[in-house]
Amino acid sequence: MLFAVLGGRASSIDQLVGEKLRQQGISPSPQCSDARFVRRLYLVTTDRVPSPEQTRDYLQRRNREALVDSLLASEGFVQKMTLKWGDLLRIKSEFPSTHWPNAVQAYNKWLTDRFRANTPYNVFVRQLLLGTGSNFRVPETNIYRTGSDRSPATQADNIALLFMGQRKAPSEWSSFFTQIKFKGTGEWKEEILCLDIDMPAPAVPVRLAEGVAVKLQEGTDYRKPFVEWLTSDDNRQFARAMANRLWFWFMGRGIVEPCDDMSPENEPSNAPLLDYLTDRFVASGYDIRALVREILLSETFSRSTLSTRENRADSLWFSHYPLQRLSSEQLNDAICDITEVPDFYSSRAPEPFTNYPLGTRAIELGDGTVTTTQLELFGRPSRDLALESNRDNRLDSKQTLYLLNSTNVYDKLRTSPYLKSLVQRKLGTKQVVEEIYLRVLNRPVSDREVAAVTKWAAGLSPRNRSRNMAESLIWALLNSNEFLFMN
Amino acid sequence: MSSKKSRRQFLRESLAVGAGLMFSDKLLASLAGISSPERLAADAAADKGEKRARSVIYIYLDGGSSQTDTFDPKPEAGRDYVGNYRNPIETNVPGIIIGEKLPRLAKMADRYSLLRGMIVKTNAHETAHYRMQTGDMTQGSIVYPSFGSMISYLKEKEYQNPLFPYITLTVSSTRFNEAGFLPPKYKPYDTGGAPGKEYFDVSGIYDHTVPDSLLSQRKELLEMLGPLGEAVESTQEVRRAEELRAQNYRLILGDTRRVFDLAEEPEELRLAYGMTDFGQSCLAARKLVQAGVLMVVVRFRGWDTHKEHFKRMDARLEELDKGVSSLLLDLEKYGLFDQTVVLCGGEFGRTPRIGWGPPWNGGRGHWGDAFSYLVAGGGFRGGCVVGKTDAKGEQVVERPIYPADLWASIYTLMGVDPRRTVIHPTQGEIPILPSYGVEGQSNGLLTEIMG
Repeated sequence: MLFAVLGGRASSIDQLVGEKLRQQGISPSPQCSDARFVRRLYLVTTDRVPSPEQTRDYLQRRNREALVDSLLASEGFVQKMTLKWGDLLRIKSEFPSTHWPNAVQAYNKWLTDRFRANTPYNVFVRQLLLGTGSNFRVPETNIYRTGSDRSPATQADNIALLFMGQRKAPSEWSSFFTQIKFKGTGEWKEEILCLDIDMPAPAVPVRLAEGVAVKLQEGTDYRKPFVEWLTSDDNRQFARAMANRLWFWFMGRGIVEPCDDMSPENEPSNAPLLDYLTDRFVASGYDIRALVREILLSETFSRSTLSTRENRADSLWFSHYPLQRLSSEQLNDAICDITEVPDFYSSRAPEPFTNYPLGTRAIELGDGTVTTTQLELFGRPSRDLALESNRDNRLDSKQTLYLLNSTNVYDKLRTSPYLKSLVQRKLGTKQVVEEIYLRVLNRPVSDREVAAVTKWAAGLSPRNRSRNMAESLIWALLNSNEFLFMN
Repeated sequence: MSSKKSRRQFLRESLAVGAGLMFSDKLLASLAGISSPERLAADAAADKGEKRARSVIYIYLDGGSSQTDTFDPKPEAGRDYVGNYRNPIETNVPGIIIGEKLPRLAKMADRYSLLRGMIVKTNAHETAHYRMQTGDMTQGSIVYPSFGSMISYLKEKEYQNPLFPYITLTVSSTRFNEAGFLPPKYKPYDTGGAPGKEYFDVSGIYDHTVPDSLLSQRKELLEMLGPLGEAVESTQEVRRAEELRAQNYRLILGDTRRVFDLAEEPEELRLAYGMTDFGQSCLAARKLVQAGVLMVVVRFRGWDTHKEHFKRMDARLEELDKGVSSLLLDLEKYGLFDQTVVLCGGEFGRTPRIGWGPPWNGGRGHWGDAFSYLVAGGGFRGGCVVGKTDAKGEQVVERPIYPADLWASIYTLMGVDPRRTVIHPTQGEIPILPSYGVEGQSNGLLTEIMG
């Protein structure tokens, strides 16, 4: 195993990325501006765009470490992690997960509690995989009752995908899940996961991995020896898969890409870097926040998205930060925040329909079944598959059409309490433009931009001119690439 | 549009604006409309005696409609089954009777056939929605796309039209992920808005509060500010964003949007369809298939009548009768009937036996064991009944029809082999209709009414 000690000095993310870039004969892009950094950091850690106050505050203090620490300790980070795991665990009331709102609520709370406590990842997975009892009361049991197909082979494949980043489990792994049975109750969609301990154990030891096997003892939970091995330091792929996934979540591209297809043929673009991250993750005691913190404080994370002439062709080695469209929930919540008009969400199950409290954010829904036209349109994961590709951040024509001219977006602008108060404050054009740029794009406006908007506004009819200008400017910035992409 | 007059005025304005911009409305209109190359090809095919369905209109009775009160009446079953509707009516096809609240449809039973043997084998809404719209009853780990998403994918290369291939009037059900394993761009486009109201605001395409002059002014602002802002890496996707907006503006300011302008239709026709959101959606559906759209779902809500069933049916059925009968006649009038499949039905049926006691007070529950669909056009023969239920309408006793059979038949009429395969992102090559030909999930093409 290659350890991340190069030439006798302790390595770091930036050194390892730099090493690779030198080998390839390219140099990295410069650091992004502080304004870009603050927007990027809020988005990747909490799925929110920073408020004007938060932006201004950071631009004054410029204390990167303090901001990273406060965001990682925030409830927003807990929500973000719950969302990401909700995607992977396919939490959804209706078809095909059929968790029903009871299990959806319990499952989300279970996740939230663990991320709030920063439970070590290996402990988290052990707890997740060893539950028995009612799926409404012991929500982690839902990992075994998600989807129509509950065969042992499918259970094993799902676990290999989630925790090993592998598309298929070794066929022997099925043996660990043969005891799982479900017993219905009088309650709709409630099921009790119980173990059929009379299930005869295989006569010979069951193979876990190359050179590792375990003899299953009749009358015991066959999942236990499997989970112990899975989450142990001996199984390096467990830590390696999560290190790669975390890198993907915060850097926009896996070191192995796609991050959940880590077959031997799919080689990492920077093997020493992935090894280093894996080591750091194991050494920290599987501390998710600690590893994320190290990534976020690296220069690699805060590089500009703009390529230079010589690194333009690089999409593998992190010479510049990959440009990504905001995710469906990020975009949705950003528009709600900017206009101060929250969305209305409602669950059709169980009848009669349940309305979410007004002000609920898309990232807090926790239920793949509860959705809106806009969330669907921008590629929110269906939660039918546990693949990262189930979240689709690609742009298509229905999305741009929606932002340009939909009644939904117009309604938000029309009824925006923010716009109303902005106009009532009777500020000068320049101040209004400054405020809107900071609010929507999280950056100071340039003089040229102020001049252009002022000139454009002069062409509007004098009636309601300031209102029309403010509304049109927010509309235009919501439609700009600078807003749509995490620059 | 508030009235025909202002609508014309609006169109003149929009055309004037359009003329000043750099695209050809004529081209778009031709792509969307009467003289499209596809249309010519279809005409040519028809000349050779080769009929092929081009589009599907799916009148989706969301919640599950009662077969007993619509297309499979059981007048002999007694009051606990027939409830308030004791006198089903003869249709113009001898031997076929339908519910008494559907007098208009009764006069044209030669145009459609009734599938009385439908089975979906579940009483849960979300699973029934999924099975009915995808045809998949395998209960495997793959989530399939709805027919509309799949046909958009299969015909993507040949579909050259500024309108989206799969459109829902007005909002999709989202009870399952319609794109299934396909990327989300194959999901239906939801028009939103209210076609039965004074203004039909069509999401992204038309909003009555924003005049074209403002649209154009804002477009200028957007184009002016872009280059002044912070540089954005010119990735393929960023370059594409610019192209997409240009495309969008052709739709927003061009002529294609007229397809949604219901005020262009004669007043009598609009009244015949019914001046409700459902009736006007049926009219819009005709205009959309006329413009070449592949799949239009008219989602008609309010059929989940557990309580006070008959009171709600009185209103619903009249709307349904007006909307569907007008649609069939209208498609015929425009020569679209033979190339458009019309389907009408929900995710399942309703309990033939009525729950009279509280809390139902005359309600019908979910029923996936036996229900009915109306099918017409696109090559389906009219005047027939396929499948038969028992004396109470509770079980299918002859010719069961599964969702896969219905979609396999429609694929066949559209020139797509129902056994063809596609590539799944992780599972490799899989059939488009996994249940088709599987015992207990399929019973064969609807050959009784095809060809």
